[in-house]
Amino acid sequence: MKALVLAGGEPKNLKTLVPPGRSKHTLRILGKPVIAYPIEALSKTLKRDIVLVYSNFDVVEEAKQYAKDRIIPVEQEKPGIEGAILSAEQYLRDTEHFLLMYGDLIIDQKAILTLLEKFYEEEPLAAILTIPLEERFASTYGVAVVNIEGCIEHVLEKPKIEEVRKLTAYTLGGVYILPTWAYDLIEKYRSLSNALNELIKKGKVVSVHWSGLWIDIGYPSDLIAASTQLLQKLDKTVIEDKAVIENNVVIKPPVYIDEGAYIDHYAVLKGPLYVGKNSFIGAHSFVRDCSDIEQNVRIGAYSEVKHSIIQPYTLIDSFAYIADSIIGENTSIGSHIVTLNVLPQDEIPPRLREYLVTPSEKRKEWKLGAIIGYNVKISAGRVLNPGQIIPPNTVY
Amino acid sequence: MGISECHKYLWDPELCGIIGITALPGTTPYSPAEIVYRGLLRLEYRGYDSAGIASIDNTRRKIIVLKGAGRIEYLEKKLGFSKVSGNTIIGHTRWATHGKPSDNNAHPHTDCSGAFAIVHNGIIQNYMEIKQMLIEKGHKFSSETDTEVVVHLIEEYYKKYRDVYQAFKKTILTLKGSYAIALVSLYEPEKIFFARKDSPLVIGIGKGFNLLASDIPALLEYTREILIVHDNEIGYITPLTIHLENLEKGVVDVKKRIRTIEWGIEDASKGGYPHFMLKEIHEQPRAIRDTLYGIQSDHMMQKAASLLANADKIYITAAGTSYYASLYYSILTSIMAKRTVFHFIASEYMVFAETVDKDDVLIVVSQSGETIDSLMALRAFKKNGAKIIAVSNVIGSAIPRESDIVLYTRAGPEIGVAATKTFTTQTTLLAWLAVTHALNEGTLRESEGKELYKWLLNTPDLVSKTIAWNEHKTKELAKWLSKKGNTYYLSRGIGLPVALEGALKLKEIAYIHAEGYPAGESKHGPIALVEKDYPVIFVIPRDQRLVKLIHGNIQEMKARGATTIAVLPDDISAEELDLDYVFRVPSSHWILTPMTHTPPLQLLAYYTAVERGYDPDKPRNLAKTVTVE
Repeated sequence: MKALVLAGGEPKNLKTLVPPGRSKHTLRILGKPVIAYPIEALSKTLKRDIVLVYSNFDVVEEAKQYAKDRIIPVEQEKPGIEGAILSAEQYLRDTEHFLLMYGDLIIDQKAILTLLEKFYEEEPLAAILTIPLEERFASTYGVAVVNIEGCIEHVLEKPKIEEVRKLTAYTLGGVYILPTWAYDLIEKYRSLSNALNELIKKGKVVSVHWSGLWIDIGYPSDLIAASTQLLQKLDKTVIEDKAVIENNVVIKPPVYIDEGAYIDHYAVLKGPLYVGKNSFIGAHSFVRDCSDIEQNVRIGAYSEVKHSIIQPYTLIDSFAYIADSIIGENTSIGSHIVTLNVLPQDEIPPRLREYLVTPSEKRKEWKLGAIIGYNVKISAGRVLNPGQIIPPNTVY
Repeated sequence: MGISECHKYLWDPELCGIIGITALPGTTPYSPAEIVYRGLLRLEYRGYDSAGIASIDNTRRKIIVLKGAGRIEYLEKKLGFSKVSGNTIIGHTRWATHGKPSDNNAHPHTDCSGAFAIVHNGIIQNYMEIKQMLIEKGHKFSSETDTEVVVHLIEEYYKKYRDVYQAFKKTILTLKGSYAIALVSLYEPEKIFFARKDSPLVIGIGKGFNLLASDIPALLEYTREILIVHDNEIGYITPLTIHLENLEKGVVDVKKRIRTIEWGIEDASKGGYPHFMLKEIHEQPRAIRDTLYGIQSDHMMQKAASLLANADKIYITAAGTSYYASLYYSILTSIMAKRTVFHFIASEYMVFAETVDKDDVLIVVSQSGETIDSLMALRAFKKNGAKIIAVSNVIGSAIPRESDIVLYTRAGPEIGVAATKTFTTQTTLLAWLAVTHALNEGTLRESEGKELYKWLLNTPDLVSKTIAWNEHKTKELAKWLSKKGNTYYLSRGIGLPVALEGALKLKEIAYIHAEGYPAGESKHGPIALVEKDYPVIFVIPRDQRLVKLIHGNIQEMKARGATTIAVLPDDISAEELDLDYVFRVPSSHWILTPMTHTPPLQLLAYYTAVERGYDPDKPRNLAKTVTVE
């Protein structure tokens, strides 16, 4: 079975972090580009080629590192998901079925395995991965209405919450196994969900339930959600070659320190957390709470980094307080910066996956620090408001 | 239960497992018998009350059949499955849906001549007529199963056609029903014949051997090349070839159907779920649907209801989760049939056994039918003359055997140690019983009874919704709950057994201390423990009176800083209720409370256990069936 991975399109809500000419799939999480996660999951499970639809070529180069020369790159010709799928048509003609997957999915390999197994065992017309329904995202991803046998009765692209509340519905998980002739349906109906509904009329389409790791990267806060969930699975400390940790550094395991990183004296690292290749954590710094510091990042002395993700080549000077923040690459942040992180009650940014402080739906404390773009320069002493966005290429 | 009633209920094709191998000597990594034994172990999750194998002996003059009731490991010790000789072997693991588990009923079954042996998953609907015809022709049967009829029919046709495949084909064409069948014969000692209709069957292609099994994971250890047999297809395998034929369309080109599985066996999941418990939670709608089918076609239900209506005193007993189902029944019967039911925990039977006489009835609820505490209670009551009604999930187990009337739930095998689908199927069945009893007593009008039956028949759909609506929310809350050391589960009236069950689940698999309480009782003591952020979970049934009372209890808890969480029907407003977190369930009738309100609590316990790093299928210190006092 061949796989088709969609990694094209515009960064849309990630424009703050993704420079022009680059794909959002090259943003880094735990030392790997986003595209690595679906590609690795696929190449461990399927043995044939992976057709990769792209808009910017950088994602292809990254993907090739993870799939042992089995990537067939295809440039996306027409816009939208349907356009992406149709671009790859000629490469899939020689198979009966293909596995379609979104390239921005951080997902466990087991999800693909579960989907394949169910598909082989039941030999349905098609199989769709579904995940537990979160009401507020119902119209973002679309839902499948499932019957008691586990078969999909129909697919709703943008359902209203009141609609969904009356049904047995699960969110579409972005991984599909489809017959190749579904291409004709996608062409004819111009939308994936319409094509799926037509497919359902023609035969059995099963819903394969997945309740494990699943995050799609569409908003900056998704990056933190992904790194947090991945770090929570870290069960032992890994310290790679040529990483140097001074002997009075305090480490609470598990932590992942990548090659060539340097942790200076008296730093405190409370795991789980990730420190990227060749990064520098300054003396007396405090890094905690599922922080993700990518390669070649410099954290100045006496700084605190909490539950944040910092893209490569960014420099942060001493005495910084970085909390619940997402910082793009190549950015320079002056000393004594403060990222305030408690959002006012009535301001809930879109797609913020809550970091559960208390479960109260009334007294929720939404925490979000700053979202700082790439190539930004922030002067010393700045106090950034919760959720404040600093656009790329600015001086603040 | 007779077969004529059987075909009315939807039989789950996932029950029972088949494994088979035919090999050239020396081509397999283990001996063929060892492969069959390992296959049986892998398939045990599909059913485990009896198992057996049939092997064409190396002399090719007889078929060795080893079979019996019991778990596979036990049978291996007793009979030595993995040590049998022969290169063409079939095996079967059984979950009895009719015909109790016994050495005789276990598969494989053989014919009069001993030249054929067969294993079968499924139900043959017209087996009685065929059996009649064969008896008239002089065939002798040793079991009550429909399977045995098939092998004798093959014997009969062989007399006519003198060709095994022809006889097999003719037999399959005669059968009505659902089946996956594997057959071996002394006349074709290298072949395994197979047929499939509505029950899975997969062929695995090895080098010098071929395999047959009910699912893919059973084969992955030995080969990556598989062929899925489709409905209405039959054929045979030899060590080097496969013959496949569609009954309507003719011979199939095997090469086009072979697929390569690209993943390894360590990766294969448990029926598509990370744990059996999650699978069984999701199976509840189907398990309840099948139980309802079974109830509707079972005249035992009426008999039980009459027995109860004529009884002087009614008792009900059980252990663990089944006890909460019993408590629910007791409350329901009190409300609807206006009869008092004495409910007690099975291990405390001695307190009540002496008050019993021949006018009394004891209901014993036990999923496995083997729980020793419940069995002891049954015997003590029986000794004093009481009549016994059993509610069980395992056909022919000890408790049903020693009862006067048996009502079976049809949840299928439950592998997770903590009960999930067995609880909701028990409460469904007991609700039906309570309604039927109340109709007999005359305390319910016929129209009211009909209405309640209609609600009960709606349960599968409502349970699907409850699960879909709450899975994500329970996952979220679990992250917070996993850090807590204590919780209270509170409710009133019909919701109380659900609260007790919710607390038990959290204790069993997440190892967090949880106590279930009547909400009104908490102010008489337990509230002293409540402090800021203490989790208190309320089960709120769809009953206005109860909602009002529980509201007061929520406020009490809130006043002490507790974090209040509730399972709430979706047409009851949460606005004034001062709740921090709400699990919405579809609103229905309050009689359905255990079925609609329990799944979120099961999911909550499950995800909390997973969050804490535990295996929900194998809680420490607990066994699935407690056979010690």
